[in-house]
Amino acid sequence: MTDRAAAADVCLLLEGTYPYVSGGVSSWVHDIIGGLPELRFSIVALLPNDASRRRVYQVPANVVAIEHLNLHEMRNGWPWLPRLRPFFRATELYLQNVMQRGSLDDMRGLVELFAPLRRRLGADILYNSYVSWEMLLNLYRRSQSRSPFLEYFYTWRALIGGLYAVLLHELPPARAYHAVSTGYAGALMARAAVETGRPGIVTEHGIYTNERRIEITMADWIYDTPYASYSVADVPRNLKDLWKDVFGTYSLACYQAARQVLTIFGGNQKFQRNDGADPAKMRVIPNGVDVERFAGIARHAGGRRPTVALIGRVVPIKDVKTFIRACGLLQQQIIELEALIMGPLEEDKEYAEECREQVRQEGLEGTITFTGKVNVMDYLGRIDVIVLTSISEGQPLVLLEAGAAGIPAVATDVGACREIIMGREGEAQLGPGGVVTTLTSPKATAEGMYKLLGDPSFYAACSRAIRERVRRYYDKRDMLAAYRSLYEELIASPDAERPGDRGGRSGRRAWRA
Amino acid sequence: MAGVGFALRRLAERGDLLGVVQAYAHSAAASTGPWLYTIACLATLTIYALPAVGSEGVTLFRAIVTYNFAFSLVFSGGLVRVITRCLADQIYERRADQAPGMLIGGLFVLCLIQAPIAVPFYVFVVDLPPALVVQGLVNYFLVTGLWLVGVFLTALRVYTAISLSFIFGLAAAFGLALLGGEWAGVEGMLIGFNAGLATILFLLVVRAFAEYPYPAVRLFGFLRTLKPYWSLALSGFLYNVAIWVDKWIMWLAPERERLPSGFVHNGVYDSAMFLAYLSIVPSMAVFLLHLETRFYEKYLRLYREIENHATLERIEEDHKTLIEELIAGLRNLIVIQATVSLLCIILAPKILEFLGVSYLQLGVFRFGVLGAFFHVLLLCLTIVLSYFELRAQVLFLTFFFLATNVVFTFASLGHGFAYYGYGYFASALLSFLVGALVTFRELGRIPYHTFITQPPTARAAPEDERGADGTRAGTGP
Repeated sequence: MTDRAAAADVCLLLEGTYPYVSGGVSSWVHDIIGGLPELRFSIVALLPNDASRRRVYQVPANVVAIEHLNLHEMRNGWPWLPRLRPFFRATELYLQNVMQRGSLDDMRGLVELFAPLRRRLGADILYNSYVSWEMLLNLYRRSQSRSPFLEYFYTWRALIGGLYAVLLHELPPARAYHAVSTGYAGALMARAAVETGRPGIVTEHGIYTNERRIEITMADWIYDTPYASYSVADVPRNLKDLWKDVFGTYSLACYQAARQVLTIFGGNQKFQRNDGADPAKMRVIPNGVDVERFAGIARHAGGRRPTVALIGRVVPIKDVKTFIRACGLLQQQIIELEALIMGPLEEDKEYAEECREQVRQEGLEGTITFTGKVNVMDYLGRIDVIVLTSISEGQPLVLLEAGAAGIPAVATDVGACREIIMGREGEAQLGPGGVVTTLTSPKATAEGMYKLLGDPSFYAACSRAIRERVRRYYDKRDMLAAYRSLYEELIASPDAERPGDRGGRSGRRAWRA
Repeated sequence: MAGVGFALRRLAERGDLLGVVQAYAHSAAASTGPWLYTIACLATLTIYALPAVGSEGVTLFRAIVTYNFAFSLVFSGGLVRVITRCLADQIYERRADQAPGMLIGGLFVLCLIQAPIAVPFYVFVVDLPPALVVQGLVNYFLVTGLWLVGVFLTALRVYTAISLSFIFGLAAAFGLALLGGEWAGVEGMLIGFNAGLATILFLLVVRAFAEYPYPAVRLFGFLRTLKPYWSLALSGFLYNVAIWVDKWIMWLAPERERLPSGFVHNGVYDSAMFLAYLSIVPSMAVFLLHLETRFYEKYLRLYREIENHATLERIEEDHKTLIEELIAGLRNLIVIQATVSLLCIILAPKILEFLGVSYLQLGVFRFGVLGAFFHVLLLCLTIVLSYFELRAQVLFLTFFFLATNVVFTFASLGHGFAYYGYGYFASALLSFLVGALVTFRELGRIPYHTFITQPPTARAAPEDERGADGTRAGTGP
């Protein structure tokens, strides 16, 4: 499905998210598009294949085009072209770098090679020709000759096939390109930047390479060659290294091509620096919430039990069991405690059942309630403390929403939690907005909750601090304003020099206003 | 963080390399056996029946049977090849329970194709008494049935059963035809011969239903595979045209005969050629045995090593061993066939004299033996290509053989009697040379073909796809 309409101001490059998959990133994209109605957006959705998909968001009217880029599928193209041998010799050199921590230079080289042939190249030449096979063998022999060949072949197809797809896609014209992750979306942004001369930026919510690294390290489906030697120096590059290196290349090329490298909280910047981002380009634009809406929630005062709540899916990563145990500990001090676990129970049914069982075993049926998926707005007015026991988080919106309503938080020291509760460097000294605890510690969480519930003056100070901090630094309008001015700057900036200006055989002319 | 990207595993999905091909290649090869047995029976029959029905009777009998063989083969060859392949697929996927249905459906469709050709021919084109028309048609459909049923048993490699059925049935056909000839001339001879063929068909069908003890379902399911396997159907058709086309062209030679009933044939050419074909039996048998044992072992090893995480270096070693094995097999084939062919050519006068065939056929027979020498080599090359699923190359070689056979046979026609058979010989020789070039070029690229041109890719269904994404979706409420 491709609707190609008028050129857009900003082209969003989205890998596996909006508008087909719900989640934090998609909601953020939806907010940006909806919050900047004066700009025209186009979307390139990078997807594994052409399976039909249902949109889970109502796409705003200022989206002029949604295109699909299928990473795992390729049209056949021409069966043959003249001078394929030199083409593949050149491609081989760049790919060899891409597969061993390459950079934007390799990406640029590939773009220049592919651009003039874009309409003709396809699976017949890139995958099925004998010349392409010889290139693959050369690449294998040069860097991976001790890996199992079958596995290498499929790894190569997956990794480089995605890159080919990125190189072959007809880029929708736009004044600026915005990738919402590195990976293939980032590679596409790098291509757009070098090919059109228009500026690109990247916003990372989680760190793509980091998540891929974890996924690859844990993957049992990537075959690891067993080696007899125990000496680290002897272990040759294996296929997991290849996976990591290719994603490393995509990420670095994206950072190098980007005008700005953004993320939603400071903790991510360490990873971005490690992956080669230039600190001068790095910037944090936090996610924001609708402060007015949450600040307006009326507080239920008096005549109710002290209430704590964990808002989130009941899944292992949220470590709900630690929360339950903490409530057990706290209930010994505050007998009338009420605790809510608010979030869908269906995602990991087994874990949810274990949680319910734990509540029964600890005799907390009168204390803890599983509400299932509910509208948080209806509950915030009667919650006193918001609690997160997660072992991993990005920038949890729920802390900001509760914070806007003046509800202090007890949260583990993951993701952006500390920044939200204690404040960032360079912000006004507003004091703590709650308590930051260690991970998987029911005692620490219980103490944190007790500190807030048992000390009215501390509670009042935290409530004021968090409300003020969210109002000042996490207002969605500020986030939108930041992107609005960033986009305006990008849209207005002149074209950079690009390969077509020199060689005269560019694939596509830049869009002009 | 969820919601960005998709599980990498989705990207790394892959197909299954070691396919079904060997089962198919094998059946295609083994189906030459029955054809040769039948020629042997026909050749001897025409000699021994002479006293009973006279030379005119023998000629008519032979014309009917030859026509039936030729045209039933040509018009069923394509479909039979596709069914062979389907069956091999099903056996490989362990769902051969559809085989009985396919056998019945296949017979039905073949008769449906053949009837509009055979019936008008016997009724309108040739002038035969009604009893012979009926027996001629019965013979036609029996022969058609044999081509198909044989496939179902060769696919299971029950060669002994097939051979015994054919030997027993042809012996019966031989005896009954002689008896019938004594009793009622050509008509009786054909009835006897048909009874023998019917026996073979019966034995094979019984055996087939015993080997595939399943209810007959999905009778016409195989028709849907005509589209993906169109090149098999086409090369099956073209190959059978190719092996008959020189005879048809020779039916235009001045020496041809037109029987009173209307059959046209060239007795001198046809029978010499049939005899010459028999010279390939020993070498073909040896080569097939070699393919099935030593070559197949190396072939399996190559694919197993690939599946077993072999490095490229290892794969290349196995590839080399495989080619060496193949070359050894071809060398044996050439040595044996050369010996047989040489003996046939030297002893040609004695052979013809022993069989009571006219000396006029000496030249044709010698060219036929030489042609068969290269023909069998070509056939073996196409079988080897089939092992690697190189259908386009097989189609090309088949077409090349057909085209050269047409051109050269026509050319030889103009040069007179001394050159009869030269066209077939030249065509087989040239086709073999081209075939060897093509085959060895492709054999050098087996790893390429294994990974690139032949893998049956197993793509995940869209449902799985959505599921995989769904589980990663969603952060928080």
